Amino acid sequence: MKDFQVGTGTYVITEKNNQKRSIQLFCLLCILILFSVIKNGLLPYLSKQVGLSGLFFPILFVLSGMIMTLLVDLICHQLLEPNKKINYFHSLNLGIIYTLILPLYTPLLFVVLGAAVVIIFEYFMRKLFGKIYLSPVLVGWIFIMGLHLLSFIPTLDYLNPLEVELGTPLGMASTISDLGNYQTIVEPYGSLLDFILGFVPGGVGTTSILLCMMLAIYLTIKKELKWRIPLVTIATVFGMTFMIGEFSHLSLWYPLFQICSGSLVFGSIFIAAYDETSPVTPIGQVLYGLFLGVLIVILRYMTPLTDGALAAMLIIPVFNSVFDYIGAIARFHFTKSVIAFIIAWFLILLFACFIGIQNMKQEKMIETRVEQIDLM
Amino acid sequence: MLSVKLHKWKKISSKTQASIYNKPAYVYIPLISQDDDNITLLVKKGDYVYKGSIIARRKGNLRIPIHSSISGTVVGFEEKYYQNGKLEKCIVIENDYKEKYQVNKGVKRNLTKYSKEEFIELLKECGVVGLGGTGFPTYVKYSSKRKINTLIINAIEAEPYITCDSVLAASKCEEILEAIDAIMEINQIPEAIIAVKKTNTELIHTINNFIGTYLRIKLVLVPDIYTLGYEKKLVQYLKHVSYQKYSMDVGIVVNNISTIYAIYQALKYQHPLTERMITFTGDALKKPQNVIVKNGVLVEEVIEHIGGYKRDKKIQLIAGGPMMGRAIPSSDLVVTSNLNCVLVLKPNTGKEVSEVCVHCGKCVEYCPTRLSPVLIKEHLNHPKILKQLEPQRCIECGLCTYLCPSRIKVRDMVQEAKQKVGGSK
Ligand code: SF4
Ligand code: SF4
Repeated sequence: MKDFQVGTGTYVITEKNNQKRSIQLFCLLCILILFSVIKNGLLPYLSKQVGLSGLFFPILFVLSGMIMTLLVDLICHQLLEPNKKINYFHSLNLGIIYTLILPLYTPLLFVVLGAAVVIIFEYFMRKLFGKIYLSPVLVGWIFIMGLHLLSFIPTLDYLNPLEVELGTPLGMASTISDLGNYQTIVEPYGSLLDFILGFVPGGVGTTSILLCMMLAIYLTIKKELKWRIPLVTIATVFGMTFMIGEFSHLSLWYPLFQICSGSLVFGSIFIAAYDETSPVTPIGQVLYGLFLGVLIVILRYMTPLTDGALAAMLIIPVFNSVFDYIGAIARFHFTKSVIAFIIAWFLILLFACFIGIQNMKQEKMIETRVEQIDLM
Repeated sequence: MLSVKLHKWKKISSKTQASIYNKPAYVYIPLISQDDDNITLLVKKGDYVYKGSIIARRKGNLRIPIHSSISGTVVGFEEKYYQNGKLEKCIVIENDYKEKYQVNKGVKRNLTKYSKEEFIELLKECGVVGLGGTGFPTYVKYSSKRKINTLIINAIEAEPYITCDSVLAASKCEEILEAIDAIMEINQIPEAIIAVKKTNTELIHTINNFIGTYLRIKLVLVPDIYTLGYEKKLVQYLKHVSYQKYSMDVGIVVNNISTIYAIYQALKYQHPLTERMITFTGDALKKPQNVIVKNGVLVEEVIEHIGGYKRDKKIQLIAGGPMMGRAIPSSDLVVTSNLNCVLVLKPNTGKEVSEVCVHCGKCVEYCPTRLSPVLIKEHLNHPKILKQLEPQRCIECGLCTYLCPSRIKVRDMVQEAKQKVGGSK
């Protein structure tokens, strides 16, 4: 009689562990880093707008975030979980995503401090709740926003974030009293193609819609992306902004402009669909995308925030348990879920109409005032 | 819902010719059927038994006899490992190597000369059970009052490594087709479908060579997707109907292709089910292959017979396939009708320690029964929510554990939840 090792099955497992998944994501994010280096370093250098330091600054910018997240991860790991296996690529990826959403002229000290916050926050959530409820990357981002606000204090001589915002297309659009038109909000940056290719102001590596979409498609084929989240989020923003634009007689370019501007596409792929802070059930993911899309539109049109995408992505994951609870039960009642989804979409579009009408009224009021001033 | 291909490792056992191991000195017939040990013992120490003699009988709704697989003398009772991983009481029979049947066995009969009642009785008395691993009594499937509209023959062999069904079906194709035809005639079934994986070209070729004259039997090629091997999923795929408990409720009977051969043996020769083909495979065996083995034989003997182990230390013996099988602590495992595979592996799971769940959602996305395993895992201590998550739907296919990148034994947790809400296997 021979004895054998025991243990529960399954006795074969997929080769794809977290480490391999992180390495795969890392390789893809490197493509975005490369784009950022070309857009922010190489092209300005070739057109002699910057010198050698300007050429290398974008890579230094990203590296500073990456190295900091890695270092802090190593330290936290040694202090808190020395016996567990460490996945270096996980912290590197967080570092990359975090730096890519920042504007290039964020002071390096801020970048490094924010990167530390990203990792410390992740450990803090895990230790305290066993789960991460808010995106660590966005916590780092909000931390930097806070530092920017502090920089108003005269002793700190850093750039004012509003100045940064004004440079972006959405920032520009927010300075116009109505919704704007193609000449006022798109043409200053070239054409919509420039938006799609990513040669417009914005985060360090978030502007190329084409690249982001290609990476999303690749990740979806590799079954490594919760694709419903970016799809529904973008579709919701598109649908709503289309309705809003229709009330002001703006054509299809308007919703496209709304989608291609800001951090919406990059954020919905790499931040909103980030595994740990997004729902696990397919229907939960659809709900999450719907709410995210609606909140982005609300923030863009009804608050002083110009982009709103990252802020919405910071808030919505708080409701993940609700989305997942509904999603898990609804899986057993598929037809009912589809009907509920259609009703929800209808209501969302109605809501978009409401925003559109409000805008239209505002435009009319402005027109009347202008006419009155002219008459006077 | 997404699907996973798990076609790997099949070639290991199918490249060597199948062999027979039919000369055990003793057999150990466990007093258990499926997982039910509510059995009446019909022999005592010293009794002489023939090959095929009924030596025990399962009680309850799924009554079925347990046969001796050899002729010889009952020498006592011992505990041996059964495929559920537990020690079970077995009847020990010493072989006289005469292979003597009692009476009337082995007389050739025309397969179609049975009434439905005789057919059901025959399957019952011959102890024909599902050979795909369930061990469910086959006669029950044909006893339904409902008219059977379709007979599905499952030749998919879902689990990795296992090839016994394909090998048996390829070598006994004519007999299997004859049996299907007879079953259809006896039970007035208008249609039969043999479901084979698209990738199993050898079996497809063999069936195509013989199927020509059987106009009511269709060969349907299905995609190489792991969960299609499960009865519910297969019925859904082929007939677009779903059911709660038994496929008979929707007028469909599903039989494993090896079970059909057992039915052939019963119809033609009235032979009870006393032996079966089993895949002995895995990277820790010297010569992995399919072997025809009698019920009650110790697995250890068969492994020695086919050349033994490649390595001795740190190996795992699994009764069943790598997805749904169970690790057995000792080679004292006995062969039974529901054992389709013996897998001896260097453990490749457990090498990596479990990490925290990263909420990738793969276990949810791929679960064939639309469960949310990760949520079940998280709500193990919240009975109210757990109930709403319906863990009892789990078919224990193991996909969630297989796919988990954090190496969490998700299925075990769903099983625990299943027990908590009172679901059965
Ligand atoms: S083992 Fe159960 S919970 Fe896991 S995938 Fe299979 S059916 Fe779903
Ligand atoms: S597959 Fe594993 S890591 Fe992914 S959600 Fe399920 S339990 Fe968590």
